Amino acid sequence: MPRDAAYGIVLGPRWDNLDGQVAADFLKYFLLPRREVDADSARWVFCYGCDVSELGDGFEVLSRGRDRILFGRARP
Amino acid sequence: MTLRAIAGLVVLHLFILGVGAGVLWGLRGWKAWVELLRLAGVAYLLGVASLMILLTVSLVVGLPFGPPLVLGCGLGPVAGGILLGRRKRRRLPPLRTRARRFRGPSVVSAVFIAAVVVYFEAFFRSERLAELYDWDAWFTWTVKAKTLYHFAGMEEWVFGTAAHSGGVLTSYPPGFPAVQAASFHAMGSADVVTLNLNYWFLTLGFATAVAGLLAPRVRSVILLPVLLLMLVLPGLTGIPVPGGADRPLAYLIATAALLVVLWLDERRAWQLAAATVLLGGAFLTKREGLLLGACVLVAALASTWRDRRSAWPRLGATGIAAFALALPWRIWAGAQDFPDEGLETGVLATLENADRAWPSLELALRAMFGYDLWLVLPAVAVVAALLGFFSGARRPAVFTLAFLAVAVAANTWITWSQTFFGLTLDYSLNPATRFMVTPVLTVAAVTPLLLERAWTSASGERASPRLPRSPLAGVSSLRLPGGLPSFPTMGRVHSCSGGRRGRPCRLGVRALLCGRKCSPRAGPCSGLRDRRCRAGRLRQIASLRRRRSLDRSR
Repeated sequence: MPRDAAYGIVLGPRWDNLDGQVAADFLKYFLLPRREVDADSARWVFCYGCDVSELGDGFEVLSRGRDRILFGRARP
Repeated sequence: MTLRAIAGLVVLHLFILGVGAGVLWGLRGWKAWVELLRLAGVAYLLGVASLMILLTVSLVVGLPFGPPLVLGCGLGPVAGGILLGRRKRRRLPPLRTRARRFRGPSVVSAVFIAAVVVYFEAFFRSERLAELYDWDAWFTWTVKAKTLYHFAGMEEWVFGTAAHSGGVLTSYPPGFPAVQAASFHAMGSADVVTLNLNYWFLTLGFATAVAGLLAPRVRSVILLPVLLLMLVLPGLTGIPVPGGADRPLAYLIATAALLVVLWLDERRAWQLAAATVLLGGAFLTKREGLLLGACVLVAALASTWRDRRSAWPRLGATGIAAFALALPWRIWAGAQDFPDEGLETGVLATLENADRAWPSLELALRAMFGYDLWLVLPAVAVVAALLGFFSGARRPAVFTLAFLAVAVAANTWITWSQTFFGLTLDYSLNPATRFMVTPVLTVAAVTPLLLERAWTSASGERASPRLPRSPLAGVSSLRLPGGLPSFPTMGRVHSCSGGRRGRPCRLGVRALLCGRKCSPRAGPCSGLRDRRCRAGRLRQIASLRRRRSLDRSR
């Protein structure tokens, strides 16, 4: 992600808890100066166990982590 | 971590020291450069507090954060200090002064000095490579510092109500993050590893501030061991240092409290003025700063009960002025309509949880006196306060005991009213231990003063606080440095002007001159009789000087 990028975080049902919130907050600190925006308008998305199909047809998965954590890019 | 980043931090902290020196010049001045060297720690902490106050105000009014703002906020207090110094007709001391004979430290002192140096060397190495792993650090403090560094302002998505999804910890003031952001600029990047060296500088500043304030008043054999013990407390070294603001808060409050304690006896205006600046900085470091600052002032009020007419207005003005320094932030935060951040405040919330009262008190006492946390320091402080009380140092002793009591009460209230805090000392479930860092460091800073008073009283170097029948009683214990009589209890108890029948008073030159007035047995001097008794005592002083000079010549 470029330094001026905006990204979104989508938490799936398994991550919709304190762990997921803490993870999202850590990304907010770690990825600065990139800033978090609403996932619908974000070019870059972190998906914590979410349903990828909800991210649209153009979503391209760039990396897959453990526990169904994905990082990808939404095609314009 | 690079040498360039470390060099940048060194430059920044020298700048902060310069800012504080400017403030100190305005408040106090110095008659010799060695005096500035002695008070360098106080000057440094004054610089930190001044910078935090002005940077916070600048951010609140919307000025863009960056090196020019940091420079401006630093030069402002320096200019103010110079103007104040000029108004008070202060002059810089000459660079070259008559060389004084240097007296080396004793063996015991040298051992403790070496231990302190080793401590700071080890602390530097650990901080230089410390990771930013603590939740509090990145969740609250460093994220704000990075935002200020990258976006030059308080962005709504980090500082506003929408931040942190749950609306948590947004109402913490930006004073310390602003200093951290200034460090990023000084280092040339958002280097969150080297950033931790800030704590090394802060700790060094605090240690030198305590040592500098107490060195002329406390013998090194008492001061240095307590100082070393204070630095290695498990409760202090055990809390995660990187990123948090507990240490800066503790350093500012403890130094302010020490200045207030010194003021209780010496009544020098600069001591309260410097304490005001430090308290203002503490109020902008953490929300708890307000509560702990109130504890300091309540303890000071309690210890000045006897002369409340003269002391309380000044202490009240100190509290109001310190609060005023933090007011812009509080107004801004109030306008943001921050959520209550899960805090259950108010009398009702406390009353509803009455069953938590006793366990909370028990927890607060364990947090205060736990050996695993603070070794024997709080117990030593209590014993020193009792010894000090019976040795004539009543105000510092009452201050220490009252401050401990109020701090325990405050910590009890926090756990009592906030039901989501567990009744445990576990750092991750209850902040009781971290809260106690400040009170323990505060009483630790005052302890050497109390021990010194107790020591001098026990060894007979100073007279009992009970006034002797004649002010000249115990002449054999008089010391005449530089020809001026230095009396055993000088500055220890009530001043001569405040002396009344049946009450002890200060045994200084003034007391000698108006001994009748201060005497518990005689009535006030007046008219011709007063002039005669003054003249008689002046003759006695001259006689003493002559006798001493004769002794020397022999």
